[in-house]
Amino acid sequence: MLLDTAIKKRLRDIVGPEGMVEGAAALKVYECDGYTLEKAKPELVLLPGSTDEVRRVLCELHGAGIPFVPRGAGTGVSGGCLPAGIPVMVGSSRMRRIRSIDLDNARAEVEAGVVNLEISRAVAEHGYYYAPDPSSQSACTIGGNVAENSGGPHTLKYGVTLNHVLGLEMVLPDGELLRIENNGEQVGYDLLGIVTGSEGTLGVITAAIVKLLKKPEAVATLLAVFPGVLEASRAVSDIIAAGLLPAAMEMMDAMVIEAVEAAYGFGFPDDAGAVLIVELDGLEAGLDAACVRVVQACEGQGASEVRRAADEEERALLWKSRKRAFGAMGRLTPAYCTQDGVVPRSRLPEIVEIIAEVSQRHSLRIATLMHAGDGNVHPLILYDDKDQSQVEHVIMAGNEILGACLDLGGSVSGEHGIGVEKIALMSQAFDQEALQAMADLRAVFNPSGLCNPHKVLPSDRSCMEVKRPGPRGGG
Amino acid sequence: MQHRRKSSLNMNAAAFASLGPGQLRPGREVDAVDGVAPQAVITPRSPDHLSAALEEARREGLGIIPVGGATSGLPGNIPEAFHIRLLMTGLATKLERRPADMTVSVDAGVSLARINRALAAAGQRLCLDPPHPERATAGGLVASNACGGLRHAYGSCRDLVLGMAVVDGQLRRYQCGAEVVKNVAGYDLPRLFTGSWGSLAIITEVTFRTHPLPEQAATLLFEFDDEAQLDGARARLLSSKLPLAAADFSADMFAGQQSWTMALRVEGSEHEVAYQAGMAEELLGREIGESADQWWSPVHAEPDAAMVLKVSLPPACCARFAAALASELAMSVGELSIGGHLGVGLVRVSLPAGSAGQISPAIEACRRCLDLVCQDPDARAAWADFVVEKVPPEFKQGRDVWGRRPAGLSLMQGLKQRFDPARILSPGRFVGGI
Repeated sequence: MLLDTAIKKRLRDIVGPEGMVEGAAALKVYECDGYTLEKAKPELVLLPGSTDEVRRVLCELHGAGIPFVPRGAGTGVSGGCLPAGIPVMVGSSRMRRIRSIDLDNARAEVEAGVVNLEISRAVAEHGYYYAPDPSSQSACTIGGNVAENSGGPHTLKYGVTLNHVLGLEMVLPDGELLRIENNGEQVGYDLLGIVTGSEGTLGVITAAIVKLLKKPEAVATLLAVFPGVLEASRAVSDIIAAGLLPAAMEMMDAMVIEAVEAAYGFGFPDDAGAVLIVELDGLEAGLDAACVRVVQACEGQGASEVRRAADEEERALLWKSRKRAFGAMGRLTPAYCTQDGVVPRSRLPEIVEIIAEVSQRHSLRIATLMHAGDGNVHPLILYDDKDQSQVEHVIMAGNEILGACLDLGGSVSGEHGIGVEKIALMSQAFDQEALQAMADLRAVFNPSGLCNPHKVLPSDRSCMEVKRPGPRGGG
Repeated sequence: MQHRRKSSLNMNAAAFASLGPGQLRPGREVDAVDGVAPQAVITPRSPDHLSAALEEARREGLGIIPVGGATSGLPGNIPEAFHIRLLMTGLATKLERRPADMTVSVDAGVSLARINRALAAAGQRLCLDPPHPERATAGGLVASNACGGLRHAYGSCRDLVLGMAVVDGQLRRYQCGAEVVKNVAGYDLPRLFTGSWGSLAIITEVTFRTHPLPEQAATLLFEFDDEAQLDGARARLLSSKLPLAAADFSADMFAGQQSWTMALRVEGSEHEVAYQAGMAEELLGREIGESADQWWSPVHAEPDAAMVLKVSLPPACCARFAAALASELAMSVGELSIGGHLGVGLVRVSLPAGSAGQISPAIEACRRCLDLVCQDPDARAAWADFVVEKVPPEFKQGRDVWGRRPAGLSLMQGLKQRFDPARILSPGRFVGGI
């Protein structure tokens, strides 16, 4: 589809020259998100500067019948904002205002393009923060977080984006403005809950009202070193069985540790088969006792060492190592593909064994990161992007692992979304009637199908060129 | 929206043949909703029974209202059609707890108390504390998005539901969501059905996430002279590092006298509970009472109240609203109880039995006070509103009990049209006559 000059002019009149990106070179950055197995350039990227501009843009596109895709920072990892077969992209990068901070009611209203971490920064001096902390939090935007219902390491105790959004402002695909504002007591159907995690297929989010939390009185971060992932997974179960609810329980296997150590030099032991980062927070009063129980659980499963971060600096470095682990993987491989499966916590040891078996059978190296407390595993499948036959094995291996997650009673996505990447797995995850019900839901918001088509649900999606992947990821 | 409906239900319909003894009986006066008695009460014991009832309803244009323990008092507009009261308490076999995964899956008719007894044996609980847990069912809790004071720390039902099985108004049966604590695959249908008051689908099974049972818990009570003191206490408390499980208040008015009380729930180890009690006293002054085992929540109205309003507003407006309402009604109303969840911004206003004459003035006063407190540009809370949860049916005529027209009503109507095109599920009862 080629946009005619008349419509381009009308769109330019709305967003102004600074809000329009054209030309192959400038558009390159928009051809994919962190899911790099597929790429496509949009014809035009629009960067509206206000909700009203978004509204007028969508009215124009709706009137002309032109498909469009919303985009945040492009840190997603399932191709949710891949513009394949979609001529226009609507980005949020010029909508970066924090509209209001209301500490008395512990909430803030921010525009869609505000970066996740900026919210916590803006309220830090008052002792507040915004809880969801995806690994990409220094780049990803709130609009994208809401669209993907993003998680992060601390969801174990604090929940995902959905649990921290009190209101939304969005423009529906036909250009109608919708403002849902409440304190979780919305009358009528939970539109906020439906839109959160809908991967940009129900409209364009322009602002969100988010909950602010008071920083806990005390935090303790423990690092436990295990001979292998199996022992570490069992320790996770034992910690849960002890009645503890840590803020986070993150696991990295030997391959991830190697990459992270090379990149950040935290000082992980050379011979570590797996490490578990356990963060406890809450009252000063109970923290030491809880730490003792975590240490006992880890030692009971053969941890060779359990140490507590001595100070804020050490704690920050430990989290940096964990959150930037994806970036560090580039040291081990020309390319990798990040998967995002979930199993019930008690089945972690089983999925670990399955991943090892898949790795062996496809002769692919697979490094594994886990939000272990949530049963959310991120196998990173390493490969050489110049070897086309390896690419095929990567896709097969990924699907086999996710299929196994389903067999174990889990899900094909814990936080990355379906996007284009996992569409084929949807019919495995849900029966036909549930998929029809989902299609019904989408049709109510997006009857024309113009908003982010070919995503989330299986359809007659046209074949797209598969391009060479690059080394990116997230989670 | 008018649909072709039969005026009467055929108890001998073939669809009902599979129902066993005691599963189908004629409706009586006690089964009425808003003064409308159903023609039959059906108690399905399997999803098949349920589908049969729904199929008959769709064929004949019957109106069904699904009911769990009815502990919500079944709020809603006067039904557009009501033939079948569908009693979901018969679907109560499955109770599958998975302590290591911190999840529990139950049939819709299983009571909250039963769930929590089973979980307690494994050191866990479902963090929901609405009234009448012995009668409140999993399906009913979810359909009404119920909550109690623990919502302060753990969220409402919508934050605890992971997955469910439903039969929707198109008679489609499916599982949605998942049985794991983290899942973003596909559209979040469980969110759509949570709080949909039986107007889109009938929930047959629910999976919740569970939490560890605290070693100890205590309720701390504090008393205040007026709303300003209470609100000051709220602000100090909520900006402190005290991790409360619940923070409720009550402002009761009796014979012109007002009393302002705050009830805090603290949980943790023995040491932590004592530490928190100390922190609370430091912030709020001396507590007036403490109860280790009995959770006292002032928010739930008496079952025989003549009127109950559920007001949703910003936390910082709660006390001022309560004071404004109490003073406005001081002359006309003898007894009034106002209580709420301070951290969430949820207040219930109720009039005792026998005060029907004061219902209309109370509702009007509530509207005026809410506007007064929340329309203030500083409050940024033009959205604040209230639901008339309970009034005699005559007060429902010509009124939408759910409040003002909500944002996105046309989307909601579209969802109703897609999920229950024949309008068999709780027709006319939900917001905007959905």
